[in-house]
Amino acid sequence: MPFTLEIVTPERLAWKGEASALVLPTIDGEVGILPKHEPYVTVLGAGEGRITALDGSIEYIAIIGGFVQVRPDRVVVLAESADLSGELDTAAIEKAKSAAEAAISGAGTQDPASLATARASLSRALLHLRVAERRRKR
Amino acid sequence: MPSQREIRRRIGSVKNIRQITRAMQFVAASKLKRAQDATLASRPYGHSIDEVIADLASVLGEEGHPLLRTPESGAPRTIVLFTTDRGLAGALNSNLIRFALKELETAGAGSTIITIGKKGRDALARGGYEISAAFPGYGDKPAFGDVTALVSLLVGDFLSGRSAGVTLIHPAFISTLTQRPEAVQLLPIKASADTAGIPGNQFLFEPDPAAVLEALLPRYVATRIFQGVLETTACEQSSRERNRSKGRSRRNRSFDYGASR
Repeated sequence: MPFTLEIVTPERLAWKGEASALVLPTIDGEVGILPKHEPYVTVLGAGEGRITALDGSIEYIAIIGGFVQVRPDRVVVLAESADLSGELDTAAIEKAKSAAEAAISGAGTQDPASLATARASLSRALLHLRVAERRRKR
Repeated sequence: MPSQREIRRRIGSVKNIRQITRAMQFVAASKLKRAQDATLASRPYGHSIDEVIADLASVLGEEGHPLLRTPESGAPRTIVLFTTDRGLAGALNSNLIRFALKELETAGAGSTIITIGKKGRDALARGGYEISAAFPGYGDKPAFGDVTALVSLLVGDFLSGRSAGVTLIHPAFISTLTQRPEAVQLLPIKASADTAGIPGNQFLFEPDPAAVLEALLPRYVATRIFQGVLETTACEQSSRERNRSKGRSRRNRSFDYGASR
């Protein structure tokens, strides 16, 4: 028995449809959600999510922040950003990654705020790369 | 009596104007489409975060978090008025300003207004109202990060007790033809009346309700404000486009007149 899954970000609806299982990165580790899960709310961390579609195929999605709400009728993921592996542009991520690395290596002259921003965009790029890789291996 | 050549030249220039305004129309249409899409795309997120926050509020009760506490009535509130930077948007801004002033009258003594967009600031300054802060508009392509300064101002004022509540006034984008000013209570957060039939206290919150709330609240306030910004942009574009098409149909009549000669 599948459940309805919606993955939304402030900018868009990233995924909507029926799924038979879902794995999400939370601040305390991964959580798996199957049909008939009890009503549940938790805070998401950054990491890789996996959606098992009805035909058994697995969709990989890079999730950063936000939270998930499991309701009796549906599961709603409210992420700060959510990108399916198929939507990720490896070349653009590599560019963001090297820009962030350059910013960090020149950190001696920087204020802590922009260093933190650079670190955040680096870890974001690394996560996106990992999820984009998933698609190619499959 | 103009010469034949002058008349021909005149016809030619009218045709050119028609081509230019047509090109401008396409630009405006794509702007409108983008603003509309952004507004509609942000709604599912806003709706879901509203639901979760309302559920949390009903679990935690008023003592659970300072942002949930209802202050005594009659205390000064903060009203955030969303308007556009530029004019030629029909009655959009004047309707919003009128709506905000009515809201200000019913709010307690000492309530203040924060304006977003030049039009609101100018109108209130002319009317001699006190503006506690004025933000410029967020342009045609608002980004989520733009609202952070306003969010920290609003939350800070509420937590320090300078304001007893925050009401947002922005137009609600219903369709290209219909926009209505709307007042949304942002703070304190209202507990859910539970229309969906799932009482909040049946949810399991992990790690615990307070921690979830802590992670969610800044996000919630920012989302609500960002949505106000998006709705305002969509309404501005469609209101302006409506005005333009009115002008266009008037002009086209004169084009046809010129062309048929």
